[in-house]
This record gives sequence, structure tokens and C-alpha cells, in this order.
Amino acid sequence: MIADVLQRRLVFVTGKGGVGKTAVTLALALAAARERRRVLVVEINPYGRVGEYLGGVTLGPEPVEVAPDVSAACIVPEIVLEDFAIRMLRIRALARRLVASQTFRIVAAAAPGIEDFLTLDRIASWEAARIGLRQRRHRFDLIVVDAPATGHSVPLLSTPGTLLKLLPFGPLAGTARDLTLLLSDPSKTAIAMVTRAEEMAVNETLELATVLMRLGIPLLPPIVNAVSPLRFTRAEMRRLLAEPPDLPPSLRAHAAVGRFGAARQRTAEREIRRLGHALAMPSLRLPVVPARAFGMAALEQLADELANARPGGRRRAGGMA
Amino acid sequence: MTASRPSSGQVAGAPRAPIADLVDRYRLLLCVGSGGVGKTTAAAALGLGAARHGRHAAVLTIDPARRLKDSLGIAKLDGEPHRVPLERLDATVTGSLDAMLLDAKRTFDAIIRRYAPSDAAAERVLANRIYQTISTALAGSQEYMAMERLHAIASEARYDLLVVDTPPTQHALDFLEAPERLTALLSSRAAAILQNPSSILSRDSSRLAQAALAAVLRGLELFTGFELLREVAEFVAGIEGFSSGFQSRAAEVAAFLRERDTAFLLVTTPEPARVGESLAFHRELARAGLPFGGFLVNRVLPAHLVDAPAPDPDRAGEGDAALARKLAALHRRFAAVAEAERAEIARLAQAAPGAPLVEIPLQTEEPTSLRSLAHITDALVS
Repeated sequence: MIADVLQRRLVFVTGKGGVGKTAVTLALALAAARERRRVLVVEINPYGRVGEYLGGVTLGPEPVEVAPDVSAACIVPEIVLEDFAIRMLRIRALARRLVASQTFRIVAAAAPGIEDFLTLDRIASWEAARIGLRQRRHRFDLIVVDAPATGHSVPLLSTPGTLLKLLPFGPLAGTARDLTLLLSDPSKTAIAMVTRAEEMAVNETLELATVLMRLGIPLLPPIVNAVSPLRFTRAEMRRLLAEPPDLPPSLRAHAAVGRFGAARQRTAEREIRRLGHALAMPSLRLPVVPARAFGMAALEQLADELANARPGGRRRAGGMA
Repeated sequence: MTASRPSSGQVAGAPRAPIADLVDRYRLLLCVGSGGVGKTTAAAALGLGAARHGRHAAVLTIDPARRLKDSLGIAKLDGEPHRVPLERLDATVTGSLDAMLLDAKRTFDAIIRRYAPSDAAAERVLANRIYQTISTALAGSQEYMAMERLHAIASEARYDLLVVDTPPTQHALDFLEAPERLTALLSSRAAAILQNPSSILSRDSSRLAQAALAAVLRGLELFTGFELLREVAEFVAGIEGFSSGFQSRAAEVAAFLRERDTAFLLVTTPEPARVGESLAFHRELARAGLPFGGFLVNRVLPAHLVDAPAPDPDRAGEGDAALARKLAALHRRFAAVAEAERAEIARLAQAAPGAPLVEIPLQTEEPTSLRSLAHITDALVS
């Protein structure tokens, strides 16, 4: 999995609300940094949790280093609008005044997609940024975007294409064309869809995949997050789910635990199978991490899993909780 | 907690479950919470619980989620009420349950028609592109219009209880601040600015500033592909004269959400991040003076699973050793999860001492039929 990611320059992490997008974003970033890549994590949600997961860092509109080889920044709507105003005016102070006014915000809100467009433009500018002697090196080797939930990521990613259809000429068409090329270039960009082994989350992932394929945006194998690491064999599942459960007297008191676990496993396996069949692509499983311990240590653990995981396969034989 | 109204379905002397309090005490319950916590399921389960309690209830949603249709066993979900076929579940149900969509765009259009001085004026506004984007895209306008529609349904007094499934918000009060945002836009001051946009830069409305604004607006026009300024001016002219009617209406809706028999239910899961968000929502509600009805904690691991001590793999027979080890591991993990969840639920209880806190147990399947939804309702009531 991580090899797939390392070949790209720009990875958007998206999925249904609550599936663990932020954790996967940061785990991908840490895993890439271990491979000596300079990574930038971009947060789009103004109420995002990237800073909190990193131990209470406040993110700003400019990248700051948050871990070795990992920088992070967030997209602030006022700042991207200001960028736009500056681009049109070339006078920063005036642009600031204008953007601060409520009326300007209302007029800007009436121009749907402008914030999305400017957000992508800002991300693209980080992708293009170069440093060093004669600007030979990329400032960032990889940009991982903690993108909004499915419902908003689709309009975000389709903005340049929509704009290009609407306005094939004009000053913004060039930018829109560049963005469309960047988003559809499989050597540069890919989408990491995060999901859970649950029916609704898988449904939403399949709908998302259909839209992204239509937009021509490359997909990575989907990541099924929070999968229970404990697995019963088929024979064990049959015994536990039988009526009554086929258990020796010494284990009968534990039938309820076993049946609950087995039923959850059955649902999860069915959903992972359905996801794989529908996408014709194996998925990658991440184990559940105790939420209370969530922080740098848990993220490093997830990064380990991502580094070792192979789509469709189990990381190691007989993994047990 | 104050005494609650007796319910027709209440058995005298039976211990009252917290859900009974919720569905008997209020006429309007709004389920709010972050994305993915199960608001739709919680709202549907509450509605079903109310119907089984003998009440005539309706579940209203803003998001036309397919799952709500499936789990309620109805073929259609739109702006009209559809009766949930409860008789399929239990012939003895005395209450009823309807489901309907709070269609924001249609509501906004209806308001424009109501307050416009003439039909022609209404049509002009409805055709205006600024109106079309504002009525659908301006953050909060959807939520506000849903509240407006809700107000109208509540005024008809057709139901004993309305349960509302709100859209996921990071910010619990988005839909409550929406009227302010809208009235600000429609108020005469904002309207004046829109008619003469250069007054944004009023403190130095020099020629330079005006030229600056013109340049940016030109940029926006290029972006949107239409004459933004002309459309804005048309829109403002179009709504002039009926914005005061709209404003008093918005004030009414805001007051309606603070009535005595209205409550906001915070839906959450027992995960630390979600609980943290719910605690923030709870503080926001208090700050806004909105009535808090309780917490609905979804997907709680059933604690009874780990009531017995963990199995001892050494005592299992040779052929069962592997299974016994897995059961022991599963037991340990469930016990740890249950303990962590108890701690999170305690944080919620501590933030609102005495407030109802209803747990919805984790299921092995998500509810995709009326029958599986009934399992959840059973778990709530018993």
C-alpha cells in the first residue's frame, strides 16, 4: 500500500463521516516520512482534528513542521478568498478589507465552488513548490490531504472540470485546466477512500468510487478501517452461530461473547467481499486501535500496519488480540 | 426532572425507561450530532418507540437517506407524509408513525411567494440566479428552511410528537444561526450595500477602492460566468418590500425552537472524539439558551456480554483449545472496550447531571428493515 502512495505526489483521503479519515491521513504521512519523504498534511475542514491528533498543534495557512519530515497546514476560507482578491487586485491591504466585509462573503457565497476551486489551487501551488539550489528539489515529496466527507469531497474534486466546461476561455481557464490535469494524472494523484466493514459505509464508498471513476480521478485500493484483528475460522463460526451453539460445557458461559463476535465478523467479511467484488480491486484492512489511547503512539502503530499491509492479504498469519 | 405527562400506552406502576420520558414529555425532538454517529437510526428508533407508546409521531429528515426509507419500510420519502406500516410489525400498536422530508428549496420558494407583493415579483426572484444559489448554497439556508417547514408542520398540530433528523454539522448551531445570516442579507442595510457595493469600502471610498472592488467582482463574474452585479442588484430590488415579513417569520421560528416542549437530543457514539464533540455541542446549546433533552449514545457494546469471567483456555478440551483462546482474547477486548465506553459515558453524565442518557446497543447488523429497527427500539425501551 505504502509503495502505491509513495509513487504519487498528491493523495486525497476521503470517506463517510466518522470512518477515521484523519487518523488514516496522518498514518499515511508518518509511513511516508519513514521512507524519507518530506510530507505535507493539508487539512480542509475548518473544525478538523489534525492538530489535536498531533498533540495539540495549532495549524495555520502556512506549512509548519509537526514531526520529523512531516509538515502540516490548514486551508482557511478567508485566506483563500484573500488570495483570490490579491490575484485580481495586486494590493494586499485592499484585498484584506474587502474580504473582511460581510457583503463580500455573501457575494462570494453566491459564486458556488469558488472556495473549492481556490482550495485546490492552493494545494496545487504546494505541489509545485520547489526549493534548493536552482530550485531543483520539490519542497514536498508527498502531499496528503485530509479531505472532507464524501458529500463534500465530490463537489470539491469536480470543481475544475465543471468550471472548464462553463468557461473554456478566460483567465481562470488555464488554472482549471492545470488542476484537471493534475487530478487525473495517475502518476501524481490518487484518492484513498477510507471505509468501515459496515453496510452503509460500503454503500457510500461504492457510490463515491463510481463518481470518481467518471471524473477520471485515480483510485488507490480502498482502506477498510477498524477491522477486528481477531478472526474465527469458518468451522469456529459455524459452531458459535449454531442453534444452540456447539460448545463444550467449559465454554458455554461464553457463548454470548462468541456469537456476538462471530456475527460481527460475518457482517464485516460480507461487506469487505462486496466492496472488493464491486470495485474489482482488493481492499486493505487496518486493525481497530483502542480509541482512548489515540495519539502519536496509535498513529505510529497504524503507520506500521500501512507499511506492511498488502491489499487483500492479511498482514501476518494468526494475528491475535 | 419535572413530572411528565402520563401516556396512553403507559402501564401503571411499571418502571419508566428514559425513552418513555423523552417521547411522552416533548412535542418536538431534534437529533443533532456529528456525521456518522447514527442520527437517522436514532430518530427512526425514537419515532417507532413513540408510536408503540401510543403516540402519533412523525420522523422528519432533511437528508433523503435511502436507509431511512428502508429501515422504515416505506416506498417513498418526500415532502408529503408517508405512513410507516407498523401493522407489519405488531397489530396491537395504538399509535402511528409518519415519515417525511423537509424540502428546503421548496420551502424557500413558498416563502418568497407568500411575502412577495405580487406574483410577477415572486417569479422575478425565483428566476434570479443569486436567489437560486443563496436558497441552496448559502451555508445554513437549507437548515433554516427546514426549521421553517418544521414550524409549519408543528403549527398544524397533526402529530403528538415530531422527531427531526438534522444534517451532520460540525457546528451544532449552524441551522440556528442561519436566520441571522439570512436576515442580515435581507436587512435594509445589507441590501443597501449590495445595491451600491462600493460602500463596503466606505471608510475610504476613493476611486482606487471602487476600482479595486470592480476588479474583484469582475473576477467573480468570470468565475461564475454570469453578471454577478446585475443579478445581485435585481435580487435586492426583487426582495425589497417583503424582507420585513421574512424577518418576523425568522424570529418566530427562533422562538419556536425554545418552547417548553421542544428538546435537542445529542446523538453520539461512546468514542472519545465523538464524546468530546458532543460535550462541545452541549455547551453551545446552553450558551444559546436552547433546551437540552438528553444524550443518545449509539453503538454501545452490550456490557452483559462480559458479565461472566473470561474463559480459561487451559480448562478447555484439546480440540477446543484454539477456540477457547480466541474467546478469551475476545472477552478481554470486549471488557476493555466496555470499560473505556463506561468512562466516556460517565463524562457525558457528568456534564449534564440528571439529564436522560439513553444507550443504543451495538448491533451485529445495521438496521435496514422495520424489523431490525424494532430490535433497536426494543433495546431502548426495555
